Amino acid sequence: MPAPGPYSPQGVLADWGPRALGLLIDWALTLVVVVPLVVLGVAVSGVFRFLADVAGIVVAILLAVQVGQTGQSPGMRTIGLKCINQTTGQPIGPGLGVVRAIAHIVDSIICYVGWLFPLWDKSRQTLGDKIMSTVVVRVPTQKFSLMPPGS
Amino acid sequence: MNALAPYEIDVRRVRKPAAIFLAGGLVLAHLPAGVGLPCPLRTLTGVPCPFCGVTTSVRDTLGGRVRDGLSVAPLGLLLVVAAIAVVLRLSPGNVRILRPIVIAGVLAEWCFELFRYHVI
Repeated sequence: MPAPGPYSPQGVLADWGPRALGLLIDWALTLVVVVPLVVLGVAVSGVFRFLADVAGIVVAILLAVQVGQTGQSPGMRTIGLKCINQTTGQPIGPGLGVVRAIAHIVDSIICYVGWLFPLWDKSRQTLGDKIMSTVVVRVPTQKFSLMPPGS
Repeated sequence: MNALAPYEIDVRRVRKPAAIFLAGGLVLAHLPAGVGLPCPLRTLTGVPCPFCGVTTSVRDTLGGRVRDGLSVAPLGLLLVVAAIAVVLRLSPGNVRILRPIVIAGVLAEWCFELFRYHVI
């Protein structure tokens, strides 16, 4: 059995691998919505291409709001991850969830190096996490669901 | 967060990623040039980011063209050397680097890239 990772005051910090997996699930979810619209945009009308862009942004905002509200997106729930404020241990709220998603631009803009930070960073934070003072910790996994349980 | 506090790297944790990095670089060295993701900053603005050219540099270095690698991005050679040291367990288990040194290094690399792309 692998040794547990380092602890933050709020729990065991999540490794890069599970975090990447959670993100891939969320991306796949976004693609399920966007790709058919892109295909329609190519085959039928350019309006669908515009709708694809809008749909991508809406899905991204919905996922960010979920992360802010509950600490978890569908991918994070499935893998067993939770995003919390590193000081309070609580989810950061829907508004800051969206700001955190925007802060992840910093991770991408520098040749995607920011996304690799959890590989070596002591707090296993991306640059976006550092900006927002958030950490991602391990929690029990849940069955895949689009919306948080009980919502 | 103390901006001057040393940045700690648990080297044991990066051993596997370092091996994957070296293996990936070796594979890349045998692929046609231009394989890789474009830099978003350079694509959007034309201005390179501090890490532009590192993939090419690593590919050249691991392909035996060290001088070419150095001329593209010195950071690439540094990363290859560091990764080899980590994989061969030549480095200590826990490395502490002063943040100002990290920041200065990234800024120096960025200046190099800005110069290489004729931005400055």
